Amino acid sequence: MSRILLLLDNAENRHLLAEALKPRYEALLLEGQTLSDLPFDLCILDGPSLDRLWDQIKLRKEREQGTFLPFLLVTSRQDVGMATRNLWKTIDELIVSPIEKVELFARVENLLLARRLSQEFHRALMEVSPIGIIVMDREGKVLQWNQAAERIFSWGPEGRGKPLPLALKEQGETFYRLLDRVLTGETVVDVEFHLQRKDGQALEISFSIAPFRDAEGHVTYFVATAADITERKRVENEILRLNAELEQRVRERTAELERAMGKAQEADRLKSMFLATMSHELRTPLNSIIGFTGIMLQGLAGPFNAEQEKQLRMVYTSAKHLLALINDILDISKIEADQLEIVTESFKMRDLVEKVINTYTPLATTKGLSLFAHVAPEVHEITSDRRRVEQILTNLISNAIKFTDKGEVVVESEIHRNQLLTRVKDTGMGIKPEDMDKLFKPFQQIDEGLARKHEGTGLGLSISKKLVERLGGRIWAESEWGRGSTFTFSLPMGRKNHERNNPHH
Amino acid sequence: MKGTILIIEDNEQNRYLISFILEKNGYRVFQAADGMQGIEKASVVNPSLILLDMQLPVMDGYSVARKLRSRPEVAHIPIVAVTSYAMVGDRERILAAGCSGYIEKPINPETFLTEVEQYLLPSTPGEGGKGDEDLSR
Repeated sequence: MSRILLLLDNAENRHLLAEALKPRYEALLLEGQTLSDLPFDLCILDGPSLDRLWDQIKLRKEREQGTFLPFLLVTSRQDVGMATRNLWKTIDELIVSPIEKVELFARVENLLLARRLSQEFHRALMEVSPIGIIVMDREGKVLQWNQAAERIFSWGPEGRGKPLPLALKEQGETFYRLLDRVLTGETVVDVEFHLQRKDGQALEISFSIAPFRDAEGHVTYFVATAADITERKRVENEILRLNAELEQRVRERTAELERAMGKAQEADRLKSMFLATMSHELRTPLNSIIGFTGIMLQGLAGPFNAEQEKQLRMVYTSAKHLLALINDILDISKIEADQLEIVTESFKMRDLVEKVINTYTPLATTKGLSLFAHVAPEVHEITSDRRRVEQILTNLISNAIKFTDKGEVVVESEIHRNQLLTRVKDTGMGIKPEDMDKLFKPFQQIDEGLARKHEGTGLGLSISKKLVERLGGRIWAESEWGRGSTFTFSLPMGRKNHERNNPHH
Repeated sequence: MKGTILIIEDNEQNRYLISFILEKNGYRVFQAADGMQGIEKASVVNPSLILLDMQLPVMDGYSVARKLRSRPEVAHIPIVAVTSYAMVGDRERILAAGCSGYIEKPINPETFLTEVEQYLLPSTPGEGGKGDEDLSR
């Protein structure tokens, strides 16, 4: 039942009101005519008592800290002007005497409803909030708090009227400076405080505080929230720690990798040096062997008899073969060490094909094979590494001749979809389907039984494949066992040629 | 006599081989076994062409080529590197050092002469020292 405090100097009105309200409310009649500490939900007073109690009413309203405590003024028609001036400062509503009962109940019910709504909202908010809500007076002493605040500060009722634990010890200064700021009307959000719980555990708090103002705009007390962010801080610190650890690990790993890279680079440098040295050292004696046998065979040093010339030619051929082996091995090593130099230039493919055909015609003729080329009319200049293209073509043609005993070896060159396609076709023994995928692997001459008959490093196709790929093309083989093989490689035309040739097509 | 060629090469057999081919084909040949000697000889004999081994001891072929290019009295003489060039960039380095071209080692006795002669001026085959007149290319 709502409690209504009646503070009326006019005895008649006091009596009338008490009688009227009794059945529905608990009416409190106070003789002393002061505003006691008794709890009530509505105060009805008249002009003389308002004059006397004005200051007390203001204080009492402030003590409500956010809930609505209504004051209803009973006034005569002559005094309405004075009453209106007080309205909303101390008085919330007025009723003119002589009092109409209907009017009285309407006013009373309205004011009680407003109080209940404000109380309920206040209570529900305090109850539901997981965040501590604290009301403090202007000195920072605690007036009111919710359960969450109790939990956070591990408080009991003894906390009332004392400063917040935040105000203690070394953080006190920070706390009171904060209050000074809020007194000027400022709202401060998310200030972090570090505390110890009663059980000694660390407690991290995010504290926010706003002023609560009266009708004139004076700050009457503070409303603050306190959130326990211990767990959040722990996770944050953990993340920071893990990050630092991770960074440290990355630094260590980077250093390790740098060391490994340094070693790898050193090994690479040694390998390159070794290649260069080998290249020089192995070729130097060959220079003499090939050079001198060559000039002797040319007859520059005088004539030989037939047997001597035959033997010397064997030395010469073997030395050249040895040179080819060394060159192949060095090529493979260079490709693997990424030391293969590609020098692009513009050259006429037709001339290059003719040159290689001319070189191999004597060998083909000796074996009774016909060797010829069809270079399509649209094949002009291409931009590529001339020496390497020649090496590829030489490899394919010498292979074709090597593995063909009768018939022909044909070289075809044409442009297809802006690529230069070059084919070397033979009518030789062909390749068994199961051997096709071994073809381009290093050190594999497919039929080991033939190895003696067909001398070679087994590196030619492997080198050719890598060279073609370095030049931006592809190489592949087609074959029918016993009928012959076709090796095809593609090369990009190079930009110059593309521009020049396009108008013709 | 067709012309004068200076060979700078430390390997005795190579020196002998190259000079043998050139002399048999009518050239007058001077030899130097190291870079310093080569540079001195170049000034004295004023050859029509210098064949320069790149892998020389002490002063390598690149330094020799640069030195030769920096001396006005021999700067015009074509230098042909004779090298078993192997590594990435060797080719560029040879040309950058001032050589006019290169012949690969081991030399091919069947084509060596043709390769050398393409660096001599085409206007003066078989006309002896006259080749010296146009060597400014």
